[in-house]
Amino acid sequence: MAIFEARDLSKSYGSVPALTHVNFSIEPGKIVGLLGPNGSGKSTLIKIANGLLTWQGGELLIDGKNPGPDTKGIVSYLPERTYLPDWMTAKQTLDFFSDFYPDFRRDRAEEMLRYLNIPLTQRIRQMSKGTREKVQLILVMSRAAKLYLLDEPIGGVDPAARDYILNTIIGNYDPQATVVISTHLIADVEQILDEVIFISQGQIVLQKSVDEIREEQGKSVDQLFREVFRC
Amino acid sequence: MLRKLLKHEFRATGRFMWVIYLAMLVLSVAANVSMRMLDRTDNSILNGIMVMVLVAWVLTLIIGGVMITVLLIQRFYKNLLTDEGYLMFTLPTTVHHLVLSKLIVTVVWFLVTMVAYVLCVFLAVVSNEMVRDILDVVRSAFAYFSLKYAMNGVAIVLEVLLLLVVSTAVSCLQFYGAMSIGYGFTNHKGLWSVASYFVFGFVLQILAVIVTAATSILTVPAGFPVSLTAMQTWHLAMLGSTGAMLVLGAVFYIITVLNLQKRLNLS
Amino acid sequence: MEWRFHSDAPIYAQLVEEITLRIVTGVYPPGDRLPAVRELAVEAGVNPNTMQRALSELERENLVFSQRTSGRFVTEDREMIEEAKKTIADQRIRTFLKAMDQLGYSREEILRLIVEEEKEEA
Repeated sequence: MAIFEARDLSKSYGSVPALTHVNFSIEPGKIVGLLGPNGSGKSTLIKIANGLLTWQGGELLIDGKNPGPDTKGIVSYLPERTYLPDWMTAKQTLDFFSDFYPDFRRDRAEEMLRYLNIPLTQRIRQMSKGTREKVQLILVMSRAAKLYLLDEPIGGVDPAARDYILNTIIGNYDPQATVVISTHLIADVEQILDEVIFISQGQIVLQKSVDEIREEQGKSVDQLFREVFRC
Repeated sequence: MLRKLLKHEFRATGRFMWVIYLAMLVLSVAANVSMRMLDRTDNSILNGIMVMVLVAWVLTLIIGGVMITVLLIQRFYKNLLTDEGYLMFTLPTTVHHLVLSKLIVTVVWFLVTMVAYVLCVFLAVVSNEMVRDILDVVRSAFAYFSLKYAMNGVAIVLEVLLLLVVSTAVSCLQFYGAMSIGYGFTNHKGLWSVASYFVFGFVLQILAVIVTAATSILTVPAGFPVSLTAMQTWHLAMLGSTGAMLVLGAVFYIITVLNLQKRLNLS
Repeated sequence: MEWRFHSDAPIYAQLVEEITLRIVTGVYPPGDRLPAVRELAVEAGVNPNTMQRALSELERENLVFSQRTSGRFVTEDREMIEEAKKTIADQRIRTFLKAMDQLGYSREEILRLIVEEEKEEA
């Protein structure tokens, strides 16, 4: 059964359409790129999958169910912004995740924090932006979730941090789990993706495997993207 | 899940509550010391200082109370309607639990604050003879009322307490409801929240007028068969008010939950 | 040695090339155990599924074999490795000749240039 699928999904903000008759299906065990320009509906789609937004038409299914408390237990979400309370220390964030998520692997998270020399007593508000993002990524990837939804995980970080983030994603990858990366920075993530979904103006433009694109079209996903979304 | 949310709420709010309580208690002790000194000296400078300490004490109690109220209301906003909302609303729990945890914690802190106030006043005025005198007064008051009006002192206290708790919860929910409505809009979220709050207030006023009119009409009809004792009137008034409050609270609660479920719009 | 990818061929195919090169140049000596898929994937910065596919391909080509519980090993068949080396050499020669043809050199001129270059290096 597909772990993440949309059937004729439509969503509008008032009279402004955000998603129109969206259809796709993602099988478990893949690393998928959700690629599209800003405002294409990527964030809306991810918010719906996380139960943060309602929709008007069609349906969206996580492991066969509508987004709700059950699906939230198997989905690990990394939003674009800092969502950790800024008064918490790194240790307190570990406590929080351990408390609310039975699938949280605390030892792994502690190891990664140690490796990055992030003291457990440091508060979120004392950390630099880059460190904050790494902490969030560590927390999210330390959960043994079935579906990871990462919204722009490498936007706004330096190349070294970017490498660390991508390596963390690959290194924590469980062949049974699925990772969906929503981004507009394609060249950097392309080599870790199995499949890509192009989305534009609220509609799915294509869903293909990366190998297929390279074999059939003789170009990289990045190049294809530039063509498809040429201004 | 609710228990975990409660634990987290107490941890998150406790960190600023204890500071405020500490300040209030310390100043109460200072006020006590002040008042004893005032009796003993005629030095106007020292007197001036002592009076200022007393003023500071009163101010601390008032400002402390205001700060606590503001902080608790703001907690709902900060934790659910700003970026932290992305964390809270993706926890494997229901919106009901999220709202209830905040509500319960607020009511608990309210009760703690009441106790703190009593403690502060006590600390400020306590002296050895006073303790004995106060206890005597309280005991005789209870006995007197129980005898004279066949009033059950305990019941009175409990009913008042219940009404107090329910009113606090309802006031809280009035804020929650207003914020939930306001933050469902894409623009001018703050304005919509304030507007909703005042609309609620306005509707409540109208309801109060209607209810008052209805009760006065009901209690003085020509053929009203039963005449009630003072105690029974009291019970009726208390339980009636509490019941009305509960209904209001339920309405605000439903408004809050529905808006958070259907119209949540974290930027 | 670094893992570098170009854009017009599937990544798994490029991984096959790179690992073959490493085997042929002795970076992964004959009979040695290869690092685990996940480790290789992290090192190369690629999806473990892709690395898996590349390794399966290398198994098909008999440059690599897997022992169920112990992991993957480079073949001990030195002839096979020599053959792979020759294939890569041939490819490189063809590329070289194509580039020189583009410059307009004839085969004799190319050979003469090579001899000259060799003398200079000695």
